[in-house]
Amino acid sequence: MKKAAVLVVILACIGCNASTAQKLAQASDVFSKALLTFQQGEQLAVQQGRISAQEDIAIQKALVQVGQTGLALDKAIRANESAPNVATELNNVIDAINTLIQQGVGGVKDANTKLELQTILTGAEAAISVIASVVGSKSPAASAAGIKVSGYCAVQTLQGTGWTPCLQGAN
Amino acid sequence: MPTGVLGTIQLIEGLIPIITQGIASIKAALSGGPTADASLADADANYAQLVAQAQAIIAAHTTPPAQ
Repeated sequence: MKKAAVLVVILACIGCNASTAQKLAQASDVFSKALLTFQQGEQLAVQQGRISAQEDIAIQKALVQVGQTGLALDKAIRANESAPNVATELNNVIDAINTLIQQGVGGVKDANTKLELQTILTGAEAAISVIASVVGSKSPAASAAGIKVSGYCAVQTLQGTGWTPCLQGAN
Repeated sequence: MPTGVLGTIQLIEGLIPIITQGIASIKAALSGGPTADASLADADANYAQLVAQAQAIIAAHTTPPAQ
């Protein structure tokens, strides 16, 4: 019985080193699902005539970028790359999300629809902040105020997570 | 039913897949959820679907209607 217990502990610890990669992979999976949910919700709004063709194109173009940077992030995680390399890919993902929020969702004229889209995106932003905290990099950095990258900081608002230019020297 | 050394070997052979499966289950349970490989495979499929759908939507908007 004692030997069996030791064996279980040893086997369990084979996965100890993989726990960081596992957390990153699970967060990336949650992020990707949240993006699909966002896309489905956005398409529903398009069908209802609340988003114009031009607005839809801007959003979908941004989603292509987010999806492609997500695939690159997965590749870095799968390759068990060092934290700085994963952080570089993560920066690209967050840049793409910034573009989606500012140029895609930000361009939607209908205020209620814009708010709905921002709310749906909150789940994706939360998953990305998990990755940022696991990577533990300076940029993007997980901080009490949220995450920061490329000069933008996430801030909590009544509507969810919003983005604002970071103050100089802020983390 | 074989006995002796041959029987023991066959018994071990039969047990290996069961033990392997059990170990995988224990590891998955102890490590808290899906493995990194499983999560990444799922995420990759989702990202690819997202990109494909987005490109199809863009194409539908930008392709002129058939004459």
